[in-house]
Formats: sequence, C-alpha cells, structure tokens
Amino acid sequence: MVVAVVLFPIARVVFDALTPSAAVWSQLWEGRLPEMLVSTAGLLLGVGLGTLVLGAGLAWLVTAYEFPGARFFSWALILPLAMPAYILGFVFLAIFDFPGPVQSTLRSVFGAGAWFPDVRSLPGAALVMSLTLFPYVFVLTRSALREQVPSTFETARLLGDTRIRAARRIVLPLARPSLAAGMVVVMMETLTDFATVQYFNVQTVSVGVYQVWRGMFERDAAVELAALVLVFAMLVIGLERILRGPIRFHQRGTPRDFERAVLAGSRAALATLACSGVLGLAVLIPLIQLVVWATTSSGVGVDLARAVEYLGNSLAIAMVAAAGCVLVAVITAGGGRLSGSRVARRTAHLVTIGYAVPGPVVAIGVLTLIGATIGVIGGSPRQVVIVSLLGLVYAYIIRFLALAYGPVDASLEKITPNVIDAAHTLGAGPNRVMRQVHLPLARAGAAAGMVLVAIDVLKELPIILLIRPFGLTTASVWVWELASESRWAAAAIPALLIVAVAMIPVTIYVSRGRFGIGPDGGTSIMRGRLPTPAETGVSE
Amino acid sequence: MTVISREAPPRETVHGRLEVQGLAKAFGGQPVLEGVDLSVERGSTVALLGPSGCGKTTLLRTIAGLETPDAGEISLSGRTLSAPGVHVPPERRRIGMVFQDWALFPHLDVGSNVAYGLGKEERGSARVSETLEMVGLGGFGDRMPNTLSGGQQQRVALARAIAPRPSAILLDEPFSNLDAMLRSKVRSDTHRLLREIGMTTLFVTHDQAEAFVLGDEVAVMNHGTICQQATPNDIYARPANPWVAAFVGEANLVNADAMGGSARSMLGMLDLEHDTTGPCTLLLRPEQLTLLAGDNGEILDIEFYGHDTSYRVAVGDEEVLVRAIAGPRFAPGDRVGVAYQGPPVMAYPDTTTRT
Repeated sequence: MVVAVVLFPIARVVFDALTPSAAVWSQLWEGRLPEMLVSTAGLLLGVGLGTLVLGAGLAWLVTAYEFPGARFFSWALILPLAMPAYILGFVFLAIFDFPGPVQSTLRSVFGAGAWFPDVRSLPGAALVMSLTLFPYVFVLTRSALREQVPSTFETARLLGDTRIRAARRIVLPLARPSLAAGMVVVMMETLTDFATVQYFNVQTVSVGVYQVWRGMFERDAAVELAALVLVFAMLVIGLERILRGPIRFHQRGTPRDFERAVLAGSRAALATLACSGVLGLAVLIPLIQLVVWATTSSGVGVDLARAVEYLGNSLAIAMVAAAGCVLVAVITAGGGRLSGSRVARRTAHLVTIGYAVPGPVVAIGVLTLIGATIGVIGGSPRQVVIVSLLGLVYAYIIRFLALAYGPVDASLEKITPNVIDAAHTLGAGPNRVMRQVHLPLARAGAAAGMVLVAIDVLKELPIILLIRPFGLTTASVWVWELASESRWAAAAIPALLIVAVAMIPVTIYVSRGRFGIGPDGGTSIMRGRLPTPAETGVSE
Repeated sequence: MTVISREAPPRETVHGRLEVQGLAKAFGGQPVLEGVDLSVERGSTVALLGPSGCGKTTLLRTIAGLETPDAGEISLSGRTLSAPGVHVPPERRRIGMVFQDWALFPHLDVGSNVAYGLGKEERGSARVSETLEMVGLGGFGDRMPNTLSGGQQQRVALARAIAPRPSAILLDEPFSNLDAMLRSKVRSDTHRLLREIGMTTLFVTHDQAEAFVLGDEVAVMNHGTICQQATPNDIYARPANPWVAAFVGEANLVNADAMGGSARSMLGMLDLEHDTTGPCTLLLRPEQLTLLAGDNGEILDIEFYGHDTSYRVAVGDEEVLVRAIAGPRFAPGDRVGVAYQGPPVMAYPDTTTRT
C-alpha cells in the first residue's frame, strides 16, 4: 500500500509519457523543444565526460602515485560535494562573466577587445556542474580501486606493461562498473537541475518543465515535458547498462592498497597543481569569494529578520520531510522483512526508485495530484497552501526516501530471523515485534537517515521551486532568487549557511573514510545514491 | 635513480642464474630484509622456506622489481636488475611471477590471460594454445577465470607466467590456496613442467615438506636473512644452526660437553661431525634414536601413527622424541634403554649462556 502511494506520482508521469497528446507535442515542437533536446543531450554529455575525467583521473592519481599532498587530496577532493551547483554557478558568473574581475582585468591589460570565452554558455554550465558533481565518480572510483587486488596490476607489470599501460588494460576495465555507476548518479543530478543551467542561459528540458509550469501554467505541456525528462533518465540508465559490462568482477585474494609510485620534480608539481587547482576552483575560491561578500557588504540588501525566517522555513520543511522519510522507510523496510517473502522485500525496495527519478518529474507528478485534490475540495487560499505544503513533503519523501531507506534497512539487516522468531514464539504479534524489536534496533540507522534527508532537503532547489505555495521562501530559494537577479553579495550569507550545513555529511564521510571507521570505509553514505537494477525499475 | 636503457631485453629465452647479494629493505624503519644472499643456478629450483613474517614474500617482490631495495644487488643471467643507482622496472626484468592468489585478470578469458605478456606477433601464434596444452588446459582458452576450479586457475596463472618465456620464474606460495588432496597433484605437475622446460625457479613456501620435495636446493630464511642454502638432504642432516634444525623437521636438541671429535651426553659418548670443545647442543633426529632393553629412560607417552610410532622418553633430566617403525611395544611408565644409531652427530657450540 505504502509502496503504491509512493510510486503513484511517478507512475502518473510515466502514464502521460505513454499517452502523448499530439496537440501539445506539435505546439512544443514549434517552440523551443528542438533546442531543449540538443542542450539537454549536450549538457549530459559534457557533465558526464567532465566528471569522468576529473573523478576517475584524480582518483587514480591519488591512489597510485606519491606526490606532495597526495594523501590530503585523497579525502579533500570529496569536499566539492558540499558545494551545490546553484551556489558555485553564481560565484563563477560573478568572477568570470563580462563585468567580473577576471574579464575586467583582462580588458584593462589587453584593451577592450580582449577575447574571453562566453561564460554564460553550455560549456560554462557543464564545467560548473562537473566541478560540483565529480566527487561522486571520484569516491566510487577510489573504492573500486581499493577493492582491486593489486597483484593483478603487478602481474601485468611483470608481463611487460608500464604503469600507464597496466592501468589502461587492467585497472580501468575492472573499475568500469563503478565508473558507470558514478556517471549515472552524476547524470541524474544533471537532469534534476534547472536552476544552475538557467544562470548560464542553457535551455534544458528540465528548465522547460519549470518555465512552462511557472510561467504559463500549461499543465499538460509541463507534464509532457516532465515525461521527456523521464525518457532521458531511462536513456541514461540504458547507457549505463551498455557501458557497465558485468556488475562486478570476481576477484580472489585480499585487496591491499596499491604501491604508490613516487613522482618527482616537475611531474610531482604537476600532480599537486592539478589536484589543488580543481579543489581551489570547486571549493576554495568560491568560499573565499562568499566570505568576502558576506563580510564586506553585509548591509547590502540583507534583511536579517528575513534570513532567520527563511532559514526557519528550510529547517521546518527539512525536519518534517526527514521524519516522514524515516517513518516510511521503517514501515516499508520493516514490513518487507516481517513478511519474510522475497517478493515483499523486493517490492519494499522499490520505494527507493524516487532517487533515480529526476526532481522535476517527481514534482510535476505531485503537482498534478495537488491540482486534482484542490479541484475536489474546492480550495480556499488557506486550503491551497496546506495542500501544497503536504504535497511538498510528499514529493520530498518520494525523492529522498532512498537516503533513509539505506541506513534503516542496513540496521534492520542485523536482526536475524531467529530474533524475530523468538519474539513470535514468546507470543508477540507483528505489531509488537515492529514496536519492540525493529524500531529500537533501527534507531541508529533512522538517525543517520534523518540527518541525510534533512541536509539534502535543505539544499534542494528544483522541487521546492516548483511546488512551493506562493509566499513560501526557504534559504535555497532565496539564494537562487538573489543570484538570478545578480545580487551576488546579498546571496552570500544564505549560500554560506547552506554550504556549512552541506559540509556535515561530507565531513562525516571523509572522517569515516580517513580513519577507517566502519567496514566499508564510509561508502554506505553513497549507497543511497546508487540506483540498483531493482530500483531503477528497468527489468533484468 | 637511473633507469636502465629503454632497449628491450633479448627476446629469446635465456634461462639464467639468479643472484642476490646483500639485499636490504626496511619498511618505515622496520628492517625486513637484512643482507640477503641467495643464488639460483640456471635451470634449477630453489625453495625459499621460512616462517610467516620472515621476509620471504618481500624478497620475492624485490627480485620481481615490485619493491625497491635499500641496498644490495640483484642480477639475472649476468644482467644487473638492481644495484645502487640502478632499478630495472618490473616490466623489463623478464621475470615471471605466480602470486599466492594467482591474480588472474577477471575480465579476460583464459586465452587472453595467457596472451597478455606476449608481443603482438606472438599473440596470434600457436604459443597460447601450446602453453595451455603444457599445463593440461588445452581447449580452455575461451573460458572465463571464475568458471574454473582452483587447480585450473593455478595452472592458468602458471601458463600466463611462462608463456612469454621469462628468464626466471618466481612463485609465491602457489599451492597454499588449494585443498590438501589437490595440492600434491598440482605440486608435482608444476614441478615436472618447470623441470622439463629447464626454468630457473624460486618459490616461496612455509611448508618444509613442500620445500624438500620440490627444491633442488632449499634456502631457509628467518628474520630477514638466509640462514642456510643447501640441498634438502644437507639442510636436514647438517643444518647450519639449532633453529634451522628444528624448523625443517623434528629435532632433539640435547646438552652435551664436547672434547674434540666426541661429546659426552646423557646417551653417553657420541662421535661428532665436526671437532669442537666445550658446552654444546647436539642434534639427534627422532628416527636416529632406538629403544632397547635397559633403564636409562622412562616412557612418558606414545603416539601411534600407523606407519610409525612416536615415544616421548625422559632421559636423565631431558626429554627426547624417539621414532620407531614398528608398532607400539611399550607402555607409559616402562623403563627402557635409549641409544643413538646414526652418522656422526652435529654439534653446535653454545656461544651464549644456555638457559
């Protein structure tokens, strides 16, 4: 039942995709649709390649080579995850666009005609998104490399391969499944985004969904476009299937860290430069810029009372959504386990599909429901607001349930069937077992899940932009609105707040990975983000 | 560090003599190899035997070029591989290696695994199928590694290592992942094959039976140095020190007082292999002791193994192990006579105070 409720809005959009309205499509086609298709594909390609080069390349560099800072970078390069693209994006524009300091300096040196690439462009957007999303690929590649048995690499060396050649012939093919999985996560995030790309004047299909819905309130057209986003998502998953090869390779022996080759002289300097360059562009420079704005021009248009109000809104929504996610996760995961049947467990697992569905799709699915509900109950303004808020939380539960489901399910994993059987033989019914056995044992997982969901909701933008009732503003919405009006400095303080909050899970992840807490070196945090075949809904 | 010229080593097979001199290696200040001297004659097999943690795997990896030594030299067929200022990278050493976990490339089929180290022109030739035939896996070229049994995987690893015709081959506990039944068969097959093709072989093991069976020579290693390198028979009969004596087989190490060519022990006067004087330790193998009628010893307990019987016997204030081929003839508590029957005894002067 719960599963059905969670899946319904997505199914609604899928249904629409299957029953296209010719009239709507022909209208769309004459509009900007061709451009949208091209830029969506272009952006996916650009971000996919960009994150692949940055993520996989840097992961290999810090794993297989020794150079100044190698160990520092092996965890520090995860930090860009805490920088939402819609924040990095506007900082980039402020620095590199025509009126920004970089181009101004160039003009003053080389004259007014000094050439500079157009920042507000698809490559610009792809660069910014690559810089914020590459850690997904980085982390997955790193853990794939650490799972590899180095003796295979060493054997290749003894059979005549140089380091580079052995990396290409042995390490890369073995890491391919992880690379493909990382790319899927990245591309899904790319499809979800319609805020960042708008800074860069890139018209993707997701942007189209937003503009059509907000601007023209053409429900049908927005739904059709959302269905198109879903088609792109399916294509991405299909692509992964092709690129991935087998899910994993069977390797004997004990994984051990690679022998690091010591880089010396200019090559070491180059490696350090590459890592610090990426880290500087993705984290350090934007942070410094934000701090500078926040401290030097704090008076400019920043209303402290409003800041507190918006942050309060953010926190309230995040808390409610997180609690809702954990509740649903406990019910579905616990229920799936209680029934003991494989089918029930697989069905329960389906609720996490939302994480693999781009945000706009979820939002539009929920919005059509909100519209229908208001149509039925008739809707005073007050009722409209309440229904919208409920819808918002509903959408967040669909989208972020996977983040809570993972940790909850993992802690329930520890409950052996015998424990439950023991409870049953002592006369406890299913409800009592749930209350007295599952819930207490799932507490640690539930706490972790709540934190993860709350943080992701806090920095989330597309869904709230689409669903929020009139007049409701949160910290992330506020940042985006200010940035869209090029009021960079005013956006700095809320942006810094969001980055600070987003740092929490990243630092937890980093400290686990570094200090080796937990058998998986902290990869569990990533797990919720990776659609398994069952979750992506593509049948085997 | 100079890297030897990029010029490829000779392509034709030169099974050569492997020579290691004064090799030292430390990890984070902790010495692992401390002046290792070792040589493997052309076409012969040396078993590197030692307890776990003695540095034998590090020695193998250093010879392969996977670790860089802190001091010492390695040469193969007269070609210097490691020396102060010289480090030939592993891919240009022409040394094959079989790892303990076999390290098959899981994404390549058996044929591609074996072909991996071959040059382009050889890859299409019959070399792959010939090598697979040699290890008894003809026709397995299209199989994926994970569809093979443990013994078959081991043979693929061996075929892959010998296919490029290396000058020497290193095996790191290659049989330890196999169950006991399979192990002796795979072991003797491997031995026969390497002997047939006259491969210079160094293999690591912690199993003295394996070392004695397979090695033309055995090098016993402990605490980062080679204690002794000799034929299996020499190692067993004339171990370099009491530790080696006890490591390579059951040993009664008894106190004695030497006076030139003989020594006084609790078994009476015994002739010595080498002249020595003063307090010393004698090596008496259990099978060199016999039980007779007499009363210089008392049976403590008896273990019957079928093919032989072990007696633990108290003699004076020492205990000795006696092995007899016949079935048990005594019972615990019986008074017996213990006598030595064998060649002149190995005696080790006590240089340090005995406890």
